[in-house]
Amino acid sequence: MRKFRLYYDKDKEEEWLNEMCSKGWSMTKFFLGVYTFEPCSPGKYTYQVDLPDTHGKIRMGDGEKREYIDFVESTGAEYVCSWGFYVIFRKEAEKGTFKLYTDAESKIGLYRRIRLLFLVVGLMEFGLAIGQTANYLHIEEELWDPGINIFLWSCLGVIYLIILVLLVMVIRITRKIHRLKYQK
Amino acid sequence: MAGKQAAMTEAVYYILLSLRTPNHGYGIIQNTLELTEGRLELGAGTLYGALNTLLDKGWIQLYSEDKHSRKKKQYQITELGEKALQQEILRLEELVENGRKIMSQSFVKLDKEERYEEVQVVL
Repeated sequence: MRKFRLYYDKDKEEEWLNEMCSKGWSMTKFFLGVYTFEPCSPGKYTYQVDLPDTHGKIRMGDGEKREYIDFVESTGAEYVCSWGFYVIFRKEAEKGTFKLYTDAESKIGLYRRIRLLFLVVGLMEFGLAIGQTANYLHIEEELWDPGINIFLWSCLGVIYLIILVLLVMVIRITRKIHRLKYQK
Repeated sequence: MAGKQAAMTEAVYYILLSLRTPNHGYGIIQNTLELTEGRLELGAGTLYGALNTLLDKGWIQLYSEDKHSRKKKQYQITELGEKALQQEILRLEELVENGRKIMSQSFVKLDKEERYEEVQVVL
């Protein structure tokens, strides 16, 4: 079974994957928002969505990523798939609880990495959107074509909408970090 | 006097304790579970991050790397790590000492099980 979903919040995504699994559908693949599910006995796995610690670097090298996956698998979990900076793991529920991050410090680290990613992507899109907006405003009168223009402006609108969502996420993640700091 | 080293997180403390003898990731998780009687289960992400930080600080080092299976990377505490651990134990002793001194005598005199029960009632 395939389902299309777009998640900005990895906690919500995790929740959904675990909920699907409790209904007997285990996630096995992800591509461009399309999640592939296979039948399983209900509640067989616990899923965790991870943005691994790159240890100060922008991106994990392939070797490092392999090593991290091996490390997590050595604790009884199973690598499912990765997408961009994200990695998804699962563990059979009967093998015990599965939480990748178990203290406030490392959870704060995780949310900071996610926030940084959203900020960088958001800023890049913003730069792009501003540049394009300026361009469209300077299109000469005789080149105006209503059809093309509506299309271009709606594309731009979608980009601004994405920027807005990213901004909202940054605020929500910042709140999460504050709550975790209070827990310490 | 307990020195000026910042307090360790529980994870770091138990990782260092687990590395007095060479150990790998899963071994550290198991050892910590045993020492805390199941209270503290270190997550793989938490453990991985802490191990890298400790390697950077020079408190632990790589002991061996099994060429056939990268899963079995073993770590060991260094002299520097050992010193840091001693410092932390001194700091924790000071905490407990002060706690004992100031808290009611009746609480301190209870044995571990009874104290636990007393705390449970309140919480």
